Amino acid sequence: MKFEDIYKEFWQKVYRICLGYVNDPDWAKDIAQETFISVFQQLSNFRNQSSIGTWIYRIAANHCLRQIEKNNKLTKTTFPIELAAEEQPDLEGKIAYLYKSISELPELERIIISLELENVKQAEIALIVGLSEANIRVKIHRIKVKLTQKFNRYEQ
Amino acid sequence: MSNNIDFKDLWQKKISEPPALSELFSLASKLKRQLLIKTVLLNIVLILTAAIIIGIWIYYQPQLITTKIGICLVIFAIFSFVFVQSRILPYLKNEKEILNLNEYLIQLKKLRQKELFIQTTMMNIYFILLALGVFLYMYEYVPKTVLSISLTYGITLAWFSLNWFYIRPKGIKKQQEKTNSLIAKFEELQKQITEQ
Repeated sequence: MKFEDIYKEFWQKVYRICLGYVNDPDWAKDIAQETFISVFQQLSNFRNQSSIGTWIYRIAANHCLRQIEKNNKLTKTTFPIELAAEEQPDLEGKIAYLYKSISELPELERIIISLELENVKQAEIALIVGLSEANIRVKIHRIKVKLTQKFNRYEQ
Repeated sequence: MSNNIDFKDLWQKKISEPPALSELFSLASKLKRQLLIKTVLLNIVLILTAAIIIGIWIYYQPQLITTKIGICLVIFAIFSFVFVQSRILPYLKNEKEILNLNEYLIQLKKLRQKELFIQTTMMNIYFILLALGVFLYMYEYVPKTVLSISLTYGITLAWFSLNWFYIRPKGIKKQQEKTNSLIAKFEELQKQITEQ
């Protein structure tokens, strides 16, 4: 697969995973770019042991984790739109609230739920994280319950 | 109370225009350049230091064995420090296989533990070798009067003491705090993975 095609196909997905992790558009863009630089550099090492998606998501997830090392800018920024959303939960507000809520979860849960929302199969998520599929299923269920509760409070 | 919020639909509505590929490639070459400059600078400093010391050897033609041992110790101290330091830099870069998060965390932790070793043990060895080397080296060139010996060695000793008792522990402590907090964070993440 050519790098250009990979970039076109996976940019949005990788960017969203990064955004779910940090909830800061510029920062997410940086992580996504670093991910694709790694993809570009390592593409010749990819031997089809897994699907290309799993391989790319592994790189993206690892890059997300490494943000811990970079600095202490772990304070979450929120979208300006959120202020308006407090009063009227419109679509934009809901999207912003979802990303904000995910970025407030523990690091591992952020990655798992982002992959799930990207329609990555649970078997693949298990390969990316290094856990059993059953474990992933339970974790996803719990995270969704948490998010639903948050959303219900938000919409009230 | 709704249990049917379509999170997937909301999630995927977030669209971001991908940056042009040229932007990505220029960022890649910028990062590569930065790494290259760092490596080249480190090597230049190393080579220059060694060259100066060897130059002194050739120019002043030391007669005493203490001077020669001193020079060897100083060179050895510098090289061993940089050698160990350079061993951790490519630690994760050379990984051919992309690790899963669990394995990756284990590697990151190992890397930081290695760094911790360098910050403490290697730093101590480096200082001891360097001090010993300088003391041995100086012996030949210090005029052999009580005053000059005590003055020269006194000042040098004071300088090394300042480094050893003040600057070194301060630097190590600061680095250790940072590294330890990262290791703690990695452990917490590992716990997130293993907890049921």
